[in-house]
Amino acid sequence: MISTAPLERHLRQVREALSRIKETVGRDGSGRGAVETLEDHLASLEAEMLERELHLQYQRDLNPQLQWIADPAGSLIAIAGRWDRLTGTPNGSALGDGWRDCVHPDDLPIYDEAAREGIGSGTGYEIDFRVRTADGDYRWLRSRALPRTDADGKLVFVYGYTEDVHEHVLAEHALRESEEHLRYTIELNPQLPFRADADGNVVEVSTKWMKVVGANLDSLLGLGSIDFVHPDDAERVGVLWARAIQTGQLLDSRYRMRTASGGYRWFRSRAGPRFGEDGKIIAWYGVAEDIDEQVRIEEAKAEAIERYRLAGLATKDIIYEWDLATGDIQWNGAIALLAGDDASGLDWWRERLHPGDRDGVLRSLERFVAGDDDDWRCDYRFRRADGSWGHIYDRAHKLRSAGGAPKRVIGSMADLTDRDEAEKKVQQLRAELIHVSRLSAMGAMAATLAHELNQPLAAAQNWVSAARAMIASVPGVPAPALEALAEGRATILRAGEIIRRTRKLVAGGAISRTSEGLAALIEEAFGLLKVSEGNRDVVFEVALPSVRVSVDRVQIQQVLLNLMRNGLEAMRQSDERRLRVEARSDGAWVEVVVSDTGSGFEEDMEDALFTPFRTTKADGLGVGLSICRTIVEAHGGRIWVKSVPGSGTSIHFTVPLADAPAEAEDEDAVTAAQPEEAADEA
Amino acid sequence: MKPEKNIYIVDDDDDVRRSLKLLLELSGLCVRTFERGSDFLEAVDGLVPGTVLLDLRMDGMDGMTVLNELSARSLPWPVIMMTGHGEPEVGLAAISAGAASFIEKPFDEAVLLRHVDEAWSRRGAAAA
Repeated sequence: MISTAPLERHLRQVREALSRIKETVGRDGSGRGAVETLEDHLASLEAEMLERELHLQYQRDLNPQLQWIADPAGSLIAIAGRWDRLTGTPNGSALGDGWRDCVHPDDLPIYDEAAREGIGSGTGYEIDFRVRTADGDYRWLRSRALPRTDADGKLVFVYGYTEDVHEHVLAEHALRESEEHLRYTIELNPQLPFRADADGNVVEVSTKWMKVVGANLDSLLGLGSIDFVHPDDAERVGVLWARAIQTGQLLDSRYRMRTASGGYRWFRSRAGPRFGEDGKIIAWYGVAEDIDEQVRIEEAKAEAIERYRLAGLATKDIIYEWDLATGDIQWNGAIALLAGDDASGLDWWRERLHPGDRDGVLRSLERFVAGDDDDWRCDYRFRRADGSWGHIYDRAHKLRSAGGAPKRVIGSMADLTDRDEAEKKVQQLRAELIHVSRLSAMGAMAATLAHELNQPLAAAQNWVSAARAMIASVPGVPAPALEALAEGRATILRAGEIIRRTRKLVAGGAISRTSEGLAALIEEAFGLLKVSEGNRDVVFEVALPSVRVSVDRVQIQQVLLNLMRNGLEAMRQSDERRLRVEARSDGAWVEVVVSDTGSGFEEDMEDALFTPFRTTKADGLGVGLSICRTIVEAHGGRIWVKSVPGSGTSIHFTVPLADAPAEAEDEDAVTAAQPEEAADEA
Repeated sequence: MKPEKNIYIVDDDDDVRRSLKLLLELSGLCVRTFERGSDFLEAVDGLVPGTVLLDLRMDGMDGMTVLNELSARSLPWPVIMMTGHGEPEVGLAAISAGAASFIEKPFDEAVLLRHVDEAWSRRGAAAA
């Protein structure tokens, strides 16, 4: 790269000098021989030089590197190498500051900075930079330079060489990129990598372990990690690891590990061996994964399934799952209770449908499966295990796959047969109760009539007797007059007897008193009223001590129903509808209060309330309350009303507490008497 | 005036009150009537001893309440309860509450007079 021009000049001058010497020396003599020898040597020297020059040129051509010399300011003095081939610009154009034109503009300042520092410090520099190639792309070059100072320490030259490191740099970048990539991947990956030697001793763990177990990484090396495993799982894990090491089989173990927070979480470790060239295991590579959430979800699912199964058993409802794709249908255990142990599938179910219902049910089912509805309801008769027909209420729901196609059907079959029978019984009892109530009401009505009639009869009796007494003392009164009055008296007495007898007849003898729980009586009455449509939004309240009362059950329920119905009636137009029954003990009695939030009524109406045939109701005879009074008083109790206009009404009545058996005996004796009397009169 | 000749009728029925008063006066008794139990109780402290004919079923204060009140005041006069029910329990209840006896409407005045006589003689015997 250094110019050979000076050397050539020197050689030329030597040749010329030799020529001159030859002329001087003459044609013969040893002097001329010496000069000719020198000329020969010179020729060899020139040939040698040429040869060397060719060598260098070839070498340079092959050498991709550029060698250069620059002055202290960075201006290129000479450059050897194929600058032209690299940049597409002539070699000479790099000289001086020309090389700068090919350098990437972003890299120039960096280059200059490095050069300034390196040259200034005397240590030289090494810098990567991009240069524009003949194609217009940039390639990475690397320059190394060393300063040369003279004897005084003054900088004279900078020697440097530059090589093409483009592929190298790209590879480095790619490597760094992939390292970064790997690092991020590892960071983001929740798995915890580890490496162990062939004997199973852990030799390396990712730093992530530290964050997870909250301990020094060293404590995880060797076999130390076992200390972090839950005591109940440690032995099992140890055995599995040992077996893997021994057999070379993949490891897959689940265990609880103590985490930084102090609690335990479920982890899964998987590891596999790495084989050396000789086929022997040289290391184990594994990862541990936090599967705690998964495990909890699995546990919750198992629990839910168990609860579902138990719930199914508890309700005795049959629950089934029908896979529409396979046609397979599964019932829970409760099916055995309904239809025996041989539940085997859809055909079995079809066969057990009542012939009269089968066609209809199957058609309906078909429509459901093919149609858009997600829910299906059907009642049908189904042959039970004992051969009898059960009334089944089948409800099903369609489950669709993600795409919307029907996938499965889940449903329940409820055996309503018993409920149907129970309902029938309730209806029967209701009818009986109504019937008995009517009889009892008739009895009560008769009693009311009896009393009401007795008043005027008694008065009539008195008037007639008085008349008779007055007339008897008047002389000259014809005997027939007295007789007539006597007849009148007797007739009245007979009328009274008739009434008494009729009442007794209808009442069917005595009120039968039994010991009844007051709360139960009231609840039953509520029960009958609550189911009524009009009473759906009424609030029914009770505040009762748990006492037993000695009453005629049917009659007292009559009273309760009557009072409650009146209360409900009174509240029909009210905004607030609350019917409340409370009771408190008072000595040997219980005072029961039935109150409503109706419109109430004025004070002067109170007395009239119990008078029969006096009513504000458009319908009804108005005997209700007076019958109640009859019944209550027949029990020895009292009944009265309190009302606040606009606020509500409360009706109070007293009934005897059921107490000592001794009293009950007396009542039996008393009630026993009446049937005899009735028998007499009959 | 002998107490057994003195009768107090407590009955809310006009008809019964008037007819009974007439009847008893014809029998030579001295009769005073009260329409309401509360009226009688108010007046009783100022009355001379007599037999109380008390109707069981009255609107307002009923017979049993009056009877209990009289017992509470330890009134020594006999009280005969007039009932329209005729159910023995009611009568027994009245008697256990302190009534001397009970009589069912409609009744013969002779029956009534017998009750009155017996009531006073029983009381006399008890006192003795």
